[in-house]
Amino acid sequence: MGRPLEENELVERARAGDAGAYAALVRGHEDLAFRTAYLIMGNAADAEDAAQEGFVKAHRALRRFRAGEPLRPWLLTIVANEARNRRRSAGRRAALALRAAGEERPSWEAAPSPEAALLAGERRAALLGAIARLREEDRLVIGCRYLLELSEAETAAALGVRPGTVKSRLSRSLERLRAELGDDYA
Amino acid sequence: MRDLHEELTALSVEWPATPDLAAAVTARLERPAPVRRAWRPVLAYALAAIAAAFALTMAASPDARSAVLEWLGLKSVKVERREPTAPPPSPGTLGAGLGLGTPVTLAEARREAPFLSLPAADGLGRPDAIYVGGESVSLVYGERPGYARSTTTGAAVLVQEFEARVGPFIEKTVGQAARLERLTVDGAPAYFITGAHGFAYEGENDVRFEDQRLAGNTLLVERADGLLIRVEGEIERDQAIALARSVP
Repeated sequence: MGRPLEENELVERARAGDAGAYAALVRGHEDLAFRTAYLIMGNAADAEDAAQEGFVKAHRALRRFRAGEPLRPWLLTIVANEARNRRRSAGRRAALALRAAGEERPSWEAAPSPEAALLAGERRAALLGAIARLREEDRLVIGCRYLLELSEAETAAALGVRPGTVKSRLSRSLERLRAELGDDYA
Repeated sequence: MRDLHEELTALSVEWPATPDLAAAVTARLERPAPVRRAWRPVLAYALAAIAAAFALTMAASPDARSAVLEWLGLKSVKVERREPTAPPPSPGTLGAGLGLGTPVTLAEARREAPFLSLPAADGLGRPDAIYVGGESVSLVYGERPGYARSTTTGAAVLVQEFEARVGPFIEKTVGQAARLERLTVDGAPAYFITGAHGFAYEGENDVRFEDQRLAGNTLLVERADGLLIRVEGEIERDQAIALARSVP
C-alpha cells in the first residue's frame, strides 16, 4: 500500500511546481498511457504525440485533480481524450497492427511440443487479426479490457463513456468478435 | 467449444517500445507557454467544431408533465423535461439575487476555488463581480461591446465553473419552449439550451438542490480534465462556445 501514498505526495509536489515529481508521475504511467494511445491511434508516432500532449495537458489541469483519488483513471481520461480527438480529425487510418507476445510459461512446466506451440501461436495470431478487423468501437473496448487489462471503470474513462455502458458494449463486441472468428468459440 | 474470454485473458501483446515521455514532457513544460490565440482563429475553430458536431433537437413530448428523466451524457448534469416553475430572478447589483453564493474579490476566489480559470475571449475583460458558493465559482460580466444585457440575469454573461464529478449536481429543467442541442466542444460533451429553462445547483451542504431559477441561453461543457463550464446570457451558440473554449 506504499504506492498510493507515494503518488499523492508526488502529486502535491508536482502541484507546487516540482518538475522532477511530475516526471516521476509520468514515468509511472507512461507505458499504459502510450499503449492506450496506440490502441486508439494505430501507430507509434501518433500515439507518442498524443500521449505527450495528454501529459502536458494533465500537468496544466493538475490543480483540478481531486487529492486522494486514483490518478491513473484521471490521466487515462485526458490522454485517451487527446488521442480520440486526434484520431477523429485524422480521418482514415491504417489497420492496427498487434503482435502476440511469446507465451509465458512457468519454468517447471515442460515445453510444449513444436506442433502444440505452433498451433497456440496460430490461434493467438488469429485472435489478434480478428480484433484488428473489428469496427473501432468493438476493437477499443476489447483492447482496453483484455489487452491493456483495464478495469471497467478505467475502460469507461479511456473510452469517454459511462461505466454502465462498458459491460453491455463489451458483450456486444465479443459477439461480433466470435462472428469474425467464425469458429467454435463459446 | 473454446472459451473466448479465457483465451483473450491469456493473450498478451507485444506493444511497441514506450518512448521516453517523462523526458519529453519535462522538456516541454520548461518551455515558456505559447502566446494565447486571438479571437478570430478561435471563432473559426469553434465554427469548424460545430460543423463536425452532431446536433440533437429533442422532440417535445406531449406528456412532458410526467417529468421524464433524460440522461444525455454529461455526468454532472441532470436534465429533466418539464415546465420550469421557478420565478425569474430579481437582479439588483450585478449577479445578486441569482443565488450564486458569496461575493468575493479575484484573489479570494482564487484561494477558495483553486480550479478557477478566467476566460480570455476578446472584449470580455475582467469580470465585474465574482461569487463563490458550494462547488462553483461564478464570474458576472456586465454589458459591454458585443455582449448585450440579459433580461433574465441582468448581466451580459454569467460564466460558472464547477469541478465536475460523477453523479448529477446541476439540475436543469427543460420545458416545452426550450430547445436542447447536444454538441461536442473539443471532444468534450456539451449542451446548448435556448429558451427559458429552470436551473438549480447543489448547495453547500452537498445534498439539497437550491431553488430553481429561470435561466437564459446556456452552454454547458464538461471537459475531460474535470472542469464543468457553464456560460449563460443573451448569447449565440458560437459566441458561447468561443467563450468556453477561451477558458485555459
